[in-house]
Amino acid sequence: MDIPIHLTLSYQKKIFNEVINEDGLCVMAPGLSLLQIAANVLAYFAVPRSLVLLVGANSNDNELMQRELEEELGKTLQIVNTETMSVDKREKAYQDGGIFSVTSRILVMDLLTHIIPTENITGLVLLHADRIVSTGTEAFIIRLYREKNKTGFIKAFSDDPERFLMGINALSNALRCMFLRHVFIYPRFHVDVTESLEKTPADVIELNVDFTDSQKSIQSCLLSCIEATVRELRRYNSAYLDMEEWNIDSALHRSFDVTIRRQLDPVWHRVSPKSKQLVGDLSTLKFLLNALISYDCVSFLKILDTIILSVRTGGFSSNAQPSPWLMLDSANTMIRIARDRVYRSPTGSMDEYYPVLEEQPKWSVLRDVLEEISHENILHESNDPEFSTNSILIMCSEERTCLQLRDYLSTIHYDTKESFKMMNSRLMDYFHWREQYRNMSNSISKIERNSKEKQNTPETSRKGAPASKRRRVRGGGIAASRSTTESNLAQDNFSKDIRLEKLLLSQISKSTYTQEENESFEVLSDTNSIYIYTYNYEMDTLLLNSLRPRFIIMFDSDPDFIRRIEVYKATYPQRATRVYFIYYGGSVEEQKYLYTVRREKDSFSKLIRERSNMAVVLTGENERFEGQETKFLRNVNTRIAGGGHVSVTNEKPRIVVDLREFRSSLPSILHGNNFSVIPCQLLVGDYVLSPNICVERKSIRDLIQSLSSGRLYSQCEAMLEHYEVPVLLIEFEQNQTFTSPPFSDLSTEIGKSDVQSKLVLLTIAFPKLRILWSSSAYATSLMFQDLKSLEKEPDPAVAASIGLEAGQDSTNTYNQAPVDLLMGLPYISMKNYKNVIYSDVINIQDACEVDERKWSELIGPEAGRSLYTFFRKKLKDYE
Amino acid sequence: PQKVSRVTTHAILVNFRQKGNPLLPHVRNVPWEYAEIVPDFVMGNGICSLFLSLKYHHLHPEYIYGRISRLGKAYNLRIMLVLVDVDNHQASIQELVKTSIVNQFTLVLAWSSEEAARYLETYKAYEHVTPTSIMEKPSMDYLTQVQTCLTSVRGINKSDSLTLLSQFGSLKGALSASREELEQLEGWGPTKVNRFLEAVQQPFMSRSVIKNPESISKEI
Repeated sequence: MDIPIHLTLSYQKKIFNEVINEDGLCVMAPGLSLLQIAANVLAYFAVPRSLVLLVGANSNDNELMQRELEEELGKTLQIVNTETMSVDKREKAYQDGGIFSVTSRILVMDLLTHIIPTENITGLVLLHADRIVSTGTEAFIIRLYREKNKTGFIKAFSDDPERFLMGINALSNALRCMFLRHVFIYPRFHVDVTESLEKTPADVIELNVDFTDSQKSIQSCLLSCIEATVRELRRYNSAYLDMEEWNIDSALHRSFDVTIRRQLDPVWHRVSPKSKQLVGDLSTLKFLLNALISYDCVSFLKILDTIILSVRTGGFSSNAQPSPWLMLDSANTMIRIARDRVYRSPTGSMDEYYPVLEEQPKWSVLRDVLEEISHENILHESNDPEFSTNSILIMCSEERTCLQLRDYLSTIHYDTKESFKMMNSRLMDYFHWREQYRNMSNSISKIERNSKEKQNTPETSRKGAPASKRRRVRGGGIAASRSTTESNLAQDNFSKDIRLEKLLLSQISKSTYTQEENESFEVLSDTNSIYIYTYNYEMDTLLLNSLRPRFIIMFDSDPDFIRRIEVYKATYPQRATRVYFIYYGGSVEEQKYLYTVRREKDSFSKLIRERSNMAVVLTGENERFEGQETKFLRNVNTRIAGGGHVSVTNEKPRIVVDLREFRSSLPSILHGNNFSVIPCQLLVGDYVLSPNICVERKSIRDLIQSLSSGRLYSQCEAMLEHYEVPVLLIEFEQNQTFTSPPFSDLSTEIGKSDVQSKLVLLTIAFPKLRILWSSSAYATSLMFQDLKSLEKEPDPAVAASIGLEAGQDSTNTYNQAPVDLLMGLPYISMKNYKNVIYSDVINIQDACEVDERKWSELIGPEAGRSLYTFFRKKLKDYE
Repeated sequence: PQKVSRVTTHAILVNFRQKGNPLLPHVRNVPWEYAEIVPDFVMGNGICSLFLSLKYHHLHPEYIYGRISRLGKAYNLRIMLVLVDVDNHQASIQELVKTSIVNQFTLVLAWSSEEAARYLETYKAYEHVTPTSIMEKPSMDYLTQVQTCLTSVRGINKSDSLTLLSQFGSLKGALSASREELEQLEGWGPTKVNRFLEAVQQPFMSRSVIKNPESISKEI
């Protein structure tokens, strides 16, 4: 049979052949056209009457795969998600066969309810195999598939070698989850890859740009804030944090905040609020480091303002302290410099300000590059489709940088070489925004005052507040410190703010006026030739192929993209390409780039070593799914239990599980422990073990949250109404230490907001409620086994119909994200939200438009009116 | 520990057996006194508790069953207060979970004597408190309400919600923002924008996603 293959480079063909011939996991360096190879594999197996599944693809992957399969390989990819295909359509489509990309959550459901004929599946192609964890949905899918289908193929792909090195035996664990034995590793330094790519190197010009002095100072301020925060964090949590080798260089690395968070994860619910705040601060500071590179000076000041305000609000609790880094001198210096980049007073007098509006250094470099290109473009003109077009492609890492550049390029002027016009309009926007900001700031001060009065200690807090306390207000405003009270100072700030605004605005309008008549930059007369895009993983390959640009400007660094250019260049050697690579030397950006490249290389070397050391993984025949031993034990168990209504049987015990629970690992573990897991949309409870026993599962985080939102109370109420034995399952994470969150302070009085106090209230309100404490999902599954041994099997139809009102269909399902947002709204309660989601109000945006009368009908006159007003309440009317 | 000679309803009643229990000195916020009772503690009208340290349970596994059967069906709310003071607790907790459900006990775990004492205190103190604080959303000012609602979207934090509100002026404005507008917000990357748009644009309900439970029941 003739199967078309659309792969040009020799290494691509080699990988393809290897994967076709043997099941395995293929780990490649990013940018080496993984999706194209995967698409060819799918097409190879998609003979008539076959059923090939693509698992783990996101919407970008799907789009690209679809295009590759349809345009180059003559096959179709059917995408299955909640919106595209209903259950009946899916059942029929699977029977007809073809290539399907199925959302994992739906695929689990379809496998469990036998909508998909598991025995007939030709094979699975798994993308992003690095994300697989033994308790995750994808691993569950593969297990369900292998349980009934021993012959179909499994091919897994990944371009993230690092993830296979996290933890002990991560690689062999991942392979075990996927029932695979072989690993194919293709780093960039693989001999076949090097050979293919280095024949026709692209012409690369590196441009090292310096930070401005103010950027340098801000960067060093930020680094010292980070250092101080880490030091503080280490002080409180030395027991859990392993930061021996921590130095300031680590701050430049991609994921130091994530690493710290991961180290604290097992004890997260016991970490003090203070430490949690510090961890949050680290992320904020790291974000600011990056923002310094990509944001213009006005946007940077704006985000700084917002962060300072939000840090001031602290938690929702009244005793929250402002973040420690804000108290540092470096923070104040940073805020001052950030402001001086935007506007400055020449003599230090209060009434004279002029706009500075510092440019990002990369902008003028970009302009020079474009100028250079414009001269060359005149020399070489060609229209041959085999060769490059004269278009210029500018690549950025963020959409906002694209917008920034579009703005910049369309407003700069040839002679003045300044970006006044764009920056002036940004500054105007900024001052308009300050108006809103002042309102918020005022109302936050008011809340602060109120909560202080509530604490009955207004005097001490005012007197006791040292100078540093005032500093955080100064951060938001622009005044020098004065010996007034906090709120007066804020008021004072803002009156100055308004005066300043007027002054600057008048200057801006003058300067804009004088430049109105200048010519615009001439390269841009033919605007079609410049394309500005963001890096978008595999989609970039498509972009290069369709634009065929002769000039590529990498405005932000991205190692993967360089790889893509190499592959593109090797595939079409006759297309001339020049790449300009602009980066800030000595900055986070350069460090990050170098680090990423080095890290990837190291990971591959380690992975190769790991592969050679790996113990042989035995899968397939000797895998026990329904081992004799477990079967025997279960039979014995039912006998011990008396076996009154459940006689010795080979049928698995059933548990009805709510759809939403498939995000957690418990259903997969239950299935692994020989339960028959039946997915249903449940309105009451999460797990139904028997006609009597219904379980609501809460992780510690959910427990805290749902106790304070009133959700848990209503859920218990509903369970109690319909079931004999309502059970609240409090489940700790596998790696969490098995201890409850600490009382805020055991030496003082009983705290009203403590989780334990609320739990006490809950048990007093529902004496029949049983609590099941479990240290992990594994422990839960054992407890479920115990509880079920005396009970009858549950009926899914009955379980699903509980709580359902007339006309409501049990095959419809909620979507988590919009329903969560709806529940977050005030005046929406557990009692009335169902009226909204079963009404003709489609989504949240639709709900914004609903009129007052309709709201009254849905949630009652008073709540309806309030909610209607709440949506429309303007921040500026709020006082 | 203060001893009140007169029998009052304000005090936690303690079984004489519990003499020497290290949790007693930590009961400070409410009075307690010894009394002739079947359970270990009586915290209120119809509220009682049996106390079990896992260390003790490992030595005398039959003890707790004797206490349970002696208590019979008395009391409306029966707490089994278990002190987790051993490391290998899983099997015993599994056993106690089952026991507590079969015998209509509400299992409460504490990890220290202080914590266990605090539970007893709280039961006594909250005996007559109406559970309003766990029944509905706490009342909040406008800004906190907006923050609570916007931060219920995964990945949106407080400073993001302030950015949204200050940029669009009202909640309606924020929720109706377009992709282009969101992308320009400070601190909003593509992941955040996608998550937010999913929350505001995805329908509340998807029609016929799963198999009809009745047909599943028939298959079984």
